[in-house]
Amino acid sequence: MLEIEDLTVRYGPFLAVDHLAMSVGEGEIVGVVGPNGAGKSSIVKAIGGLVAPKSGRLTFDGTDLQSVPTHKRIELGISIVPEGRGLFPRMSVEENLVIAGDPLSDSKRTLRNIERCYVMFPILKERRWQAAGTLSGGQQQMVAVSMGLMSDPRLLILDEPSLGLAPIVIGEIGKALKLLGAEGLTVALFEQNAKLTCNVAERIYILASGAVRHHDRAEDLLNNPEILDHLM
Amino acid sequence: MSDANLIIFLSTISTGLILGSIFALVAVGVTIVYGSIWMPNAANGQFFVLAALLGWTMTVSWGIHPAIAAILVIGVSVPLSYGLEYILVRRFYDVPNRNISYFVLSLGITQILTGIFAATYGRWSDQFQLPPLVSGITFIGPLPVANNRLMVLALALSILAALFALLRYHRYGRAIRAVFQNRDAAALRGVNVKASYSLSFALGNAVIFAGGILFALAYSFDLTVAWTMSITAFAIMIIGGPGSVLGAVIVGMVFGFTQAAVSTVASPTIAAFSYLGAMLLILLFKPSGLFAR
Amino acid sequence: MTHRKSLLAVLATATLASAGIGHAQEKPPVKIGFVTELTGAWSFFGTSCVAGLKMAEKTLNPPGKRKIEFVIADDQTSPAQAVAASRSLDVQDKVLALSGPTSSDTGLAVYGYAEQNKVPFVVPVAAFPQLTKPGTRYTFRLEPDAVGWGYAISKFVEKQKPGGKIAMIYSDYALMRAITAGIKYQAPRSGLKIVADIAFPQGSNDATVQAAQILAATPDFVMVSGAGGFDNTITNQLLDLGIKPEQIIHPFGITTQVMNWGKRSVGSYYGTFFDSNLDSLTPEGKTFVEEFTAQYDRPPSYGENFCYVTANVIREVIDANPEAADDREKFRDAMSALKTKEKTSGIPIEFDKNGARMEYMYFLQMKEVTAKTYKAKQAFYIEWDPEVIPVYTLVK
Repeated sequence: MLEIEDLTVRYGPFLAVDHLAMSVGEGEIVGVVGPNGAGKSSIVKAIGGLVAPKSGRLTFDGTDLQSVPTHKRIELGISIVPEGRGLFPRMSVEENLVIAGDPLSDSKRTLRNIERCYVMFPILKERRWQAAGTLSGGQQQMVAVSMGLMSDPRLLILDEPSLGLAPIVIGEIGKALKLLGAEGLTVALFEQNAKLTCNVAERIYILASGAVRHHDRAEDLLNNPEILDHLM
Repeated sequence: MSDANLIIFLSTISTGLILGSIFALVAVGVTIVYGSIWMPNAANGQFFVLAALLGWTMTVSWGIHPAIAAILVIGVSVPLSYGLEYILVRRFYDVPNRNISYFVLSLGITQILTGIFAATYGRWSDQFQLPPLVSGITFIGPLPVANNRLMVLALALSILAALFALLRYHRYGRAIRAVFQNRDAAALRGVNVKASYSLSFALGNAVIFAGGILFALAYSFDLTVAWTMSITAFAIMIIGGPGSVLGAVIVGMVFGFTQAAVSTVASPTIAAFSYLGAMLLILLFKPSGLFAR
Repeated sequence: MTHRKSLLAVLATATLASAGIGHAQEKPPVKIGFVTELTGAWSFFGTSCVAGLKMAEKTLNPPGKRKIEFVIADDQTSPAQAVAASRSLDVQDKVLALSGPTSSDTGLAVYGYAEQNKVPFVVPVAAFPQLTKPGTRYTFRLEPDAVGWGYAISKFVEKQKPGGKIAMIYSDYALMRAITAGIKYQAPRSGLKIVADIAFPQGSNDATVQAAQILAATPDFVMVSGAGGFDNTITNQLLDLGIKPEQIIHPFGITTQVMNWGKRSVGSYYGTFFDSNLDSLTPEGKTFVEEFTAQYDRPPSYGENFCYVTANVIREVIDANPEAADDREKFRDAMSALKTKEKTSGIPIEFDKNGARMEYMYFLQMKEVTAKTYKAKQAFYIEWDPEVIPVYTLVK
């Protein structure tokens, strides 16, 4: 579904992503783990169109992404929950969801999707009129994931969803992602938290210094924790 | 309360409302542009006067009905804004510290427009007076108020209400606010950030134009109004919190009442300074503005 | 021009030509530098003045007389620019004298240059008293000074309503401060009481509350003088609240202002020094009004008249003293000794030792306003010596 070939991202002299290749297949849950500064966020930004790659090719269902402007990529079916959650902090929970549903241009579907989010995270329904920026970190992450789902994406990309969250909340987020995967959604999870990633994902890429160091099935990695320890 | 005192009291309120709603319009226009594209538009006073002058030409020279002229003036602002945005403003969108570039740019625009106005309209500068929208007078208690000014008040408040509705309930309005709050996140949610910038610039200027034409319908004006209005709008925006539309409306109304009340109990000269005093005092305690976010 | 006059002109030309006395034409024209406000805040006044000057130029240089040429320079309503223009006219164009400013600020700037560099300076329209302060030598002013207007207003109210109450509402500009200083000085001496004194800073836009305060003070007359467009705002808001037009006195009114005050102000009074409705217009004054109205689609008022008269005064001085045409000191002396009358209204022109004119003022009452013109009736006329009140100490 998503093919990345030979991707290089530079910020001036700093090489963030170095000739990287990876792919995400339809219906898969793929994890990308790596320490801080390994280039995870840069890959996500390149997919989203927030940075222009120095070289490389990104295709989604055969469409060259670099020919699609940033704001049109969501219409292809790619939905990105960026690092830092990408909320609109001064708007209410519900308004955040409405904005995230705007690309559908269908108010009925938006309403239906909002209800679906409230079923998944009931606390959000209670807090629907509260400004998103005043919620707890975990609740904010629930809003972020919900926003990612509002546009009925085919591929959901999450960047560091566990950052700053308590372990119990991380567990809840993990459960929700597994559930979405079971419903047939394709998910790409970019994470520092290898444990969470291995629990959720089927296939794992391990990154370091902007390149793929290891690529394996999640089960195998869980069975050989020394590889993870060594690589991270 | 004697009749004379009641008249003074009521006129303070009516003046506060009318002036406040016009101040609010202009400050909202300035704050929308600042909040979205980071442009502290020092030329807002000149845009305001441009609207008033266009209204004067349309009604007095061409004989167009003032209501139609008002709509035309606000309409004209849209292509003007898009033209200016296309030629100049958009070139700075990716400059990191563009607010200072924009400030200098808008000062340049101010100078140019000031020169153009002086050369073209200067010799009529004592006669800028538009025909009223409606005639007649309504008594509020013992105070006679021209229906025309009541109409201006109603229009200013309706425009503010429509603007709030747009920003809150329309997809484009939501997009503008989303870009205010988190530009990258908005792009990822499918908002065309640059189109939203252009739209905010045009919308902000349209509101300033609306303020200008309504002012011209309520009051006689001359070219010096531009400078006073620039300072006032900036002060309102800074006190209200740059980028805050609600702050601009509330502080704009408060300014209107302050001017009316201080000039009643003290003098018009002190009233003119009271703004700046209030601004300094508030910024002393809340440097980011009252409704800063 | 009447038939007889034009016939005379033709005859005169023919006589001169046949006699071969063309030597007057051989001398270079006399240049007068005319620094005025073609752009900037005061340009509506400067352009009116130039219109008056142009009307005068049509008949200013009949054949056989030394040609007088006005070199016009724009001062952009800026004192600095006015000085720069004066210097350029003095040094490069070598003008005999300076003239032109219609605002007190630019007038004072040219005054400084003229007095320092000994260039005669004829001020057509600028009213700040210090333009003729004691010790002034080269400056001559046609317009009465503004403190004097305040004296005249008090005298007018004294006549209309002995023991009356005056309210004042005005923009806080040098001109208005001078007028109100005159009123404040003279009112108690005329047995009048000032019941309200409200000044607005520059850039004010609303006067509703102040109009209500004026109403509460129950004055017999209200002196109204706003700067620019604000004048209309104050006037309309006073009328909105029920002040009657007959209670309003505008210290000065030019045509566009009277038209702006409009129909609803009919009945109110304004001060002036020349008006198309004056009873005392001379035949030349009537011609001036007719021709000006035909060309500019509105009647002239005192601004145009003072500039028209300025040109004619210079003509008269040079005709009477040919040697003054090439000598600034002689021109100054001739101006100082001048005793003549305004060609348009017959009002005497003579200057005191400081270059201030024997002063006068008309008060007219608005009677009718139509699309392009208006009617007004003379209500009061007064003449006074410039120093009947201490004008130079009341305003610095």
